[in-house]
Amino acid sequence: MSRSIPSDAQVLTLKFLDDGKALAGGCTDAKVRIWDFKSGSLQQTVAKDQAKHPLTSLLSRMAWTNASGLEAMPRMPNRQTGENFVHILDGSGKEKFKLAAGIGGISVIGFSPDGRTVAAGSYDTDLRLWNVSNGELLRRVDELTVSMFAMSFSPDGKWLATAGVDRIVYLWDTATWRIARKLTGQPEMISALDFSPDGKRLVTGGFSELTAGHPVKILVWDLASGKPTLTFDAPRQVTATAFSPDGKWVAAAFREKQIAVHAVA
Amino acid sequence: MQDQELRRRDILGECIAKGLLIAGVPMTPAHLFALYQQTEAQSAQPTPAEVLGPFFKKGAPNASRLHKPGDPGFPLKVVGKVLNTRGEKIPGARVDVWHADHAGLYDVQGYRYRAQLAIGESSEYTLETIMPGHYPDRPAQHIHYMITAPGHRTLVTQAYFATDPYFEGNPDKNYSKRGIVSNRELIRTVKLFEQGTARAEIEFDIILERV
Repeated sequence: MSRSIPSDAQVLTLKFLDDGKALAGGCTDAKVRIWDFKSGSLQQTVAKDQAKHPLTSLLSRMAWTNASGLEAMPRMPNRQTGENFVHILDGSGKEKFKLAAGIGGISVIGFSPDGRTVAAGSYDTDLRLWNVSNGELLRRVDELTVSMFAMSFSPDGKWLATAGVDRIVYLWDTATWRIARKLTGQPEMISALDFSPDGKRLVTGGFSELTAGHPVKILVWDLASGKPTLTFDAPRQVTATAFSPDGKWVAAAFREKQIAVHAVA
Repeated sequence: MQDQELRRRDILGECIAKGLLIAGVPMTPAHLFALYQQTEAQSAQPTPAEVLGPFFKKGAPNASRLHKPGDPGFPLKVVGKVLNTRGEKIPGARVDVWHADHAGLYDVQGYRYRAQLAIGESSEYTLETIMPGHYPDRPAQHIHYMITAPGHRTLVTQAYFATDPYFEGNPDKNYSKRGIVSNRELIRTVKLFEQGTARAEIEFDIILERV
């Protein structure tokens, strides 16, 4: 079963709130909209300057963790040097660390579920991991040859899934930062990724090599078999995917004035 | 501008008079003045940077011929040197280049139209390839570059073509259209050669900044 939630602005990012009773989306007009998930009715529209955590991360490319209240904000202060930095800010917005993070722009950033590690992928194709309590670079992973566009930590923090240009989902063992598994089957580049709440499934959304406007697939993967079990169509590049907290639904955004919702139980 | 140059002359004269600029090897004060001024005038700005984009791929082959016989597209040669801001050769640079095929698509599975050139003592490089197509989401024809060299800041940039229909025959006016091209200097004049078949050529020297 599939349905759609209409929006009066294009939706880019998604997050379930309130145990799944509400779905929040960051929109191209710099506002967060919050819908009642069951009825699809719009409950609230929040302007960027009114947004508080965790809604702020829906409107920018920064990451936020409720485990430690920290923010991670990517910046490229000088276009000529092209150097990336990740700024780690505490709950009051004070900078704790400014971390050098390669060149060319940060493509994706996220915190581990315990809030202790921040991971950032750069367009130079490297993945960097830092301890946010002391700013130490834990690892620079340079095994990937192409950029990653999406990442998601498993809820237990044991795995990090990354995916991007080469259409492959990489599952990294967070104890060793080695590739434990590779999942193949997405017919396009992958621009959205989310673990299910029980950590047993993944959802991925595509991004056509032709253009962002070409139709793509949304796949739901069973991690035991490593195979996709469900496939849905999306009209253009999927910019965000999210499992509902009960694991029964997947929501997907694709820069349109609607959110697609698919039953996946 | 002329005032600035006059002022620079005065300052340089002051520096010599006060012993703030002295000769490292025997030379007359006049020669010291002239040599300093001449060298300073020759120093060039580093090549403007451009975005890296999402399609860089590590591990490309060290091969200056990027196309295969029979590949569709307008034959193109790119020639250039890797220099410092004083115009001196930088040996030992590595130049990553990548561009779309004639239809505007990047090869993300393999290394078609991708190379990492190891530049020798001459600091010169040549690419034999085809004119890139128009990638629909970034519709000016371009070749991506990432250049690294010991002691110099890594540069990420792009070369563009003055003949690109995107510039509508007037790159001076239209280069900044849609915010795609950051600097007019990156758009190069296209030279056409006829040697059996037609071949386009651009020059793209790369000027790196010391760190």
